[in-house]
Amino acid sequence: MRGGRTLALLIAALAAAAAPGPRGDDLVVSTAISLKEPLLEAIDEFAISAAGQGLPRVDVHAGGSSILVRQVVRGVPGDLVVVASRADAEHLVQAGRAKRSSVCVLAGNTLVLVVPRGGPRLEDLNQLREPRFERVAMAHPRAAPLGRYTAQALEAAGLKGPLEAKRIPAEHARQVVDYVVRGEVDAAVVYRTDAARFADRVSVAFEIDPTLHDPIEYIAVLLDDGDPWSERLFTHLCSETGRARFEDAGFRPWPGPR
Amino acid sequence: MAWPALKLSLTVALVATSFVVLSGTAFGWLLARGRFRGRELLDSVLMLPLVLPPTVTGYYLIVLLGRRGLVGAPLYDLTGWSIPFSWSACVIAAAVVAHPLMVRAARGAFESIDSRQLLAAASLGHGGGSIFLRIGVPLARRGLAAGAVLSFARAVGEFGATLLLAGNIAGRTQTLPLAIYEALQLGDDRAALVLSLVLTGVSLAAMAGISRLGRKP
Repeated sequence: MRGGRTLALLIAALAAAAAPGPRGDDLVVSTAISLKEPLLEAIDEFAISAAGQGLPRVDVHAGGSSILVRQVVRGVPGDLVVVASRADAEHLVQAGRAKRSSVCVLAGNTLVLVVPRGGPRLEDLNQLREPRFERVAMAHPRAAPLGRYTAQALEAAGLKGPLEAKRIPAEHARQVVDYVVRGEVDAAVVYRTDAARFADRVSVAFEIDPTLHDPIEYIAVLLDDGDPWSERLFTHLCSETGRARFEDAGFRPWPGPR
Repeated sequence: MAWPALKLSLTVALVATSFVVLSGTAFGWLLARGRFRGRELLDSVLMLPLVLPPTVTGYYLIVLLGRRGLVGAPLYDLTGWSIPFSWSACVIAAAVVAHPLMVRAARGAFESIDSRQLLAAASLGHGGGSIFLRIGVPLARRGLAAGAVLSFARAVGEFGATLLLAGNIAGRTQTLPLAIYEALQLGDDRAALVLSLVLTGVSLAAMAGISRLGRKP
């Protein structure tokens, strides 16, 4: 008898705990983690412009684009996804989660090689072979587009094999920067915007030749069957005003110079 | 994918468990038999990794052992050796989270020994160390062994602190739980299933070991 009552109490507690969670009518936006802050600002801007019209709460998930896309393709609910590569946007379209027309490019970015502030300096990628660079952080190519751009650039420079033993994989762009910030790695390839965000603890050694990798594109994808509000948010993000937010935050305007 | 991760998990857990058994037994004895100020405080501190989220434990380990950590920085400057992202990081993370289980088991086992047996030994001229090794440990062996198996199982299953301190490097620091996490993140469902089944098998074997030890002879 006692056990039954405890169980009932437990169930009631669980139900109460579950209630204030995400409501069914929230807008769910998943974003490449490197774009998180300006995207949040752009969403706030949108919320102000739509004040009083019943805009639902917007939940933002951030992570490696390819992981987010895989979750959405498997049926995790979502209204809008912003990814850091053409291939990930294409994956959503191919999987039938979005129409080809519901896609727009928000911004571009650049890769830089960074070292911890005060760490060893270098001028070109080949110097990463030197023994003073013991550990090089790189995003995982199957988790984050940054990992694929990095792998392409290193492969083009003939360094993929030689650096394999130094490679410290990270789940997404921010984790790569974090390893440099903490001084746990001697060098890393990151987005210029992320290097700028942690400029007090990370030094940019040089920019990586953009012809060595695919163009970096941040693409907003409006998912099918989303909340009606998601289309208005999508239109806002893709507008001149929306995209200006990203340029202000240091992202390259798109279409940018190749 | 399964084999290197399983091998790493088992070696890491074995090495971690050996440290944990030595240290946990000593602390268990101290807590059960020692009479000193701050004993319960020491107990609480030792139990922390059991109740803290492994991410918090992992964070503390980074603050302590990272290349710029309190201990990690001088260590790196002196020897050029840094703990994070290494095999040792896996062992340390596993040992730290498994340690409280061994302390608890050892304390319980030592407390259940009849004090008169220890007093008799003392009256026959045995010193503290001798009583611990010749009377305490043999009488508590069943509880100590159960603690060791439990610690081993916890070490094999360690995830959060390991991910933070050791990273997730396939073939180097990727233990079974980390391999499962990666497989799920990357959408390799079959690999996740196989790895999960392997880990379940290891855990079942450990639990069977405990229940055998628990039976009276």
